[in-house]
Amino acid sequence: MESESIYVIREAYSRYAKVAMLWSMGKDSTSLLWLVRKAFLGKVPIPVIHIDTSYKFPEIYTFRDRLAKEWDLDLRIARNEEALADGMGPKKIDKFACCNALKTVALKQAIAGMGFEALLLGIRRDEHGVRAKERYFSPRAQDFSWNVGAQPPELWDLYATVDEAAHDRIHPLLHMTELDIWRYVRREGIPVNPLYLAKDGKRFRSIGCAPCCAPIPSTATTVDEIIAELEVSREPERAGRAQDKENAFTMQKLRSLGYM
Amino acid sequence: MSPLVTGAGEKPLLRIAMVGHVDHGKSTLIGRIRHEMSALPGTAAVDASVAGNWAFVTDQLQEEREREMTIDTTQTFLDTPVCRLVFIDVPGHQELIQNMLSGATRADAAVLVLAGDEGVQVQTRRHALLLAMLGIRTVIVAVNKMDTLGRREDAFRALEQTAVDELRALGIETSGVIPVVARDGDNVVHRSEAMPWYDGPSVMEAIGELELAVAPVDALRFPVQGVLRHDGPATIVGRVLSGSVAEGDALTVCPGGAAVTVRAIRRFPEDHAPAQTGESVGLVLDGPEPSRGDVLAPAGDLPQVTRTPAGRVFWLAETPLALGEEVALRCATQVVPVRVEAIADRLDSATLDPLPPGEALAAMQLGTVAFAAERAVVVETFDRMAGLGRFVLERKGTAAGFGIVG
Repeated sequence: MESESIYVIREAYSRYAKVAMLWSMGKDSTSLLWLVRKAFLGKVPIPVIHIDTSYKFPEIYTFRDRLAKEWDLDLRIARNEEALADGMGPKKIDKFACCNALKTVALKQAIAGMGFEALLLGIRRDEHGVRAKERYFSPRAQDFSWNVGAQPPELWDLYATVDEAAHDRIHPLLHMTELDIWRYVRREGIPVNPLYLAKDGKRFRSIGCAPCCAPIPSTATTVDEIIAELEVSREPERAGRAQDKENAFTMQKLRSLGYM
Repeated sequence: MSPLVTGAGEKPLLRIAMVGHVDHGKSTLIGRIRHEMSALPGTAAVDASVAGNWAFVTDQLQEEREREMTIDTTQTFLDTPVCRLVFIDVPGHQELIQNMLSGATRADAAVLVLAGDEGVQVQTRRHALLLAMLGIRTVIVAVNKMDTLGRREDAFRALEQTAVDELRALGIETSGVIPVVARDGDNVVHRSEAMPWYDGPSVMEAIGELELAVAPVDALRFPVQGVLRHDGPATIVGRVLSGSVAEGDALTVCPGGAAVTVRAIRRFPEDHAPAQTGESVGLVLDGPEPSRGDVLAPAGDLPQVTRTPAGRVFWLAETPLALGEEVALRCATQVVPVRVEAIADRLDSATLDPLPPGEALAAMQLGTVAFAAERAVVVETFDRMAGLGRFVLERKGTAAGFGIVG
């Protein structure tokens, strides 16, 4: 699994002059960052973008700044300042509009400002039914739209890069499950955001913005215990994410507008 | 067959594509399997809202649910005590053949789903032809909707014979033909009591018994992905397609034929052990520096190097591939402009009937195509080395067709 991911990462790096990655400080994108280090023998030769909604947990910012220093990252922070100044937040408006403004639009501004041709993202097929339909190399139009029903063919690992795409999304972790990620974190000793570890009988299984993520009951205080917990769990991973619950097809709509 | 590469501590992977004609029950079969297997620890329960409409497990798009039809390919995972199963659902509709291929090119084996009431249809045949072309020769046939045939043995035996014969004509020996009612779960995971005349395995039991042909251990093939220069000596990166590579190995750069020696194997964290098939690794070489697209191989066992590659090509794009046209041929990490020199032995993939000689290959047609390449290309026959024996033909960066080196 690791070699497959590294192959995809190196393919992206070889093909595009301007490539960056998105890092949310969660377990998936931190594993992706680790894989980028492995792919380039200890260095992260591409900019690392944090889409900062300003509503993230304080632990996320601490974790970000620590690793950025230890791993010598070229960290870029993207915020939709205009929307934030306007008071955008999950309480002001519905969650769909908030995610779209503070994540998708912030990302659009960052890509336009920095001129990236390709972005590496840590999404996985098993985390959501719509993400299960993703490709490793996924072109996005100028307006960021993703036409899930009319994706170009992706045959074997002979990834095509469509000429007229405005930018490409690259998904090196597509084949990994939640449990694979945790086993990989354990095997490699990848740093873990403390929000994932249980405190007072609760932990976060999926992390994002503080107002829209609920912890799950858990006693897992180590990575080993998280793995043991997931090995018998039958609850879906994103059960604590408010965004997915608002409407049956929220994720599909968000993604068709360019959400991650 | 692609090598099943798994890392330390990982279970073997078995990727199964569900193929067949539109509405014959591919998604329903996967959904039903997921439902019945969701008692497995570590498997998320199937959403209660899909009960009875098992296709919704993979048909998660709004338009898929409204039209009751799979539009895009989906991969869903199931961990069993012995291996990880990856079920690849694909659309059965003719216009979505590119999505079918995006799924099927990732498969090791297939379940061909055939609805009892309709029997072999256009897409049944086309999908079977594509399986044969893609080298997927491990195929289970599920004769679905047996309820429409009164779950009768004589009706099943007739369809079984047709399926076995049609697949044999394509060079595929079936790994079982199973009477199924996917919606109700007959012979899906558990054996059906309603068809006592059938004493074979259920679909899941048959999957559990599959034995995949293991790729023959072969000489080293190392397609170069790129060259890293950010610290110390230039490091050649890539994935070992076959064989293995160790420090001190004497290799040849193809095409070109330059001799190089492996001075060091590089990984992060530092580890100099030989790299095995499937591994992504870095090499420091003594000798002339290769570039992206080159293939490293041992001097005594080199791949073919040719300016005139040829293969069986299946065309996908709406605009036909025309004699004299220039397209880009992508094979391993090579991308080479090629011109179409000859098109022969055209076949209609709907009927599998030969077509009269012609100067173009239209969508859904198969033909033997000879190319003239702008520079030398490194290839192998598909049967010897799948990774260098398959290629994609691109127009403006979009895959417009694919081919197999015969």
